[in-house]
Amino acid sequence: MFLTFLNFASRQGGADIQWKRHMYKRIAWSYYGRKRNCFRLSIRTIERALRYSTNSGKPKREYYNNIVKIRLEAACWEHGVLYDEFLKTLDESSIQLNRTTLQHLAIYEPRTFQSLCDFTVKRQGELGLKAATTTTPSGVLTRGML
Amino acid sequence: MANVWHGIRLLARISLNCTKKDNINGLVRQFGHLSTAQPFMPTYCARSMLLKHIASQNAFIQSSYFTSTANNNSPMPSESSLDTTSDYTVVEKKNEGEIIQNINTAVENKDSRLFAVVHICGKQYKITTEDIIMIKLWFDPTIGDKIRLEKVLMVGGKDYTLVGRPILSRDSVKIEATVVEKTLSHYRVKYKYRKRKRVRRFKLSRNIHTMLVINSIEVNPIKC
Repeated sequence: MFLTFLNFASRQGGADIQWKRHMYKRIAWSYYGRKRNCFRLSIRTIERALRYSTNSGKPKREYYNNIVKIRLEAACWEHGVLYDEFLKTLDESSIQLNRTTLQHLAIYEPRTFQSLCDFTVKRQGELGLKAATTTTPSGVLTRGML
Repeated sequence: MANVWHGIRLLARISLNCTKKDNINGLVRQFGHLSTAQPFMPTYCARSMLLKHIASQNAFIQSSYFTSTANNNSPMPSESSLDTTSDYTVVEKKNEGEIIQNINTAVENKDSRLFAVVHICGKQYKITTEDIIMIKLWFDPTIGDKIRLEKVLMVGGKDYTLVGRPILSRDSVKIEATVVEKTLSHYRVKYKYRKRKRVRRFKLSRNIHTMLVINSIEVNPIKC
């Protein structure tokens, strides 16, 4: 009988298959029912879980940035400034505080935040006045109306 | 909170060609309070803000007005509130000196705990003394090194803040910290999978975390 083939085709003699599955068992320790113990059932859930965790980086960041934006907007409105103009005025005045720190200040350092808002309001007012004093651009006919 | 601030006076000096001063490129905010429960605070009752430029052309426009506290009833500000509704008057330099003097007294009293906003490794942290920061990136200094944090965007206490445009100078602020720990983060899994194509890639990675303890924040009085 030809038995050489069986020597190469045998699946015995390697390491225990559970060693490969050991890591997945650690991941699935808190799952419900047989998904906790049976590899074939748990691997389906685990693969989905790992896939979702890797692909959730971007939406997670967007979610938290949205929360920051909402907080900042609310805080600005309390002091009578619009969110976009607040940030724009700070940027033009080269105050480089980012939005996360600004919303943190709005929550935990309210006096500082109010001062920043007041500054922006003031600055916008000044710019409005400044526009009246600057010369009109060339090539534009205003007939003295601007 | 609404009782505490009841007058705000704003001073802004603007010139047509502005350049930054070396000593203080700071937007200085200072305010007083009215509650009698805090006897150690200064007795002036106006909160004022000073925007400092050194101008090549001396065209000063100073404005001052009083406003009430935040309007909680009106959620969305109307367009008209952002127009120029304040009076513009030319005021002497004396007011400015007064504000700076008040700030300097508050600085020298050292009553309140100071906070600072600091820029490290591309991130901004709001810190106080005795804080422990975790920097989730590569940070050169080794364990035990005493560091001076240079990029200070803002410093403040109970009654004043100094806002840098964009950074406060070394003369005005000094923040010292020590590196305490350098560890790795928890294991983060990167799993790529494509259905029905036998594509599975499993990768574990760990980032380096550095812990800093903030030892002290010192503010020096402003020089005019």
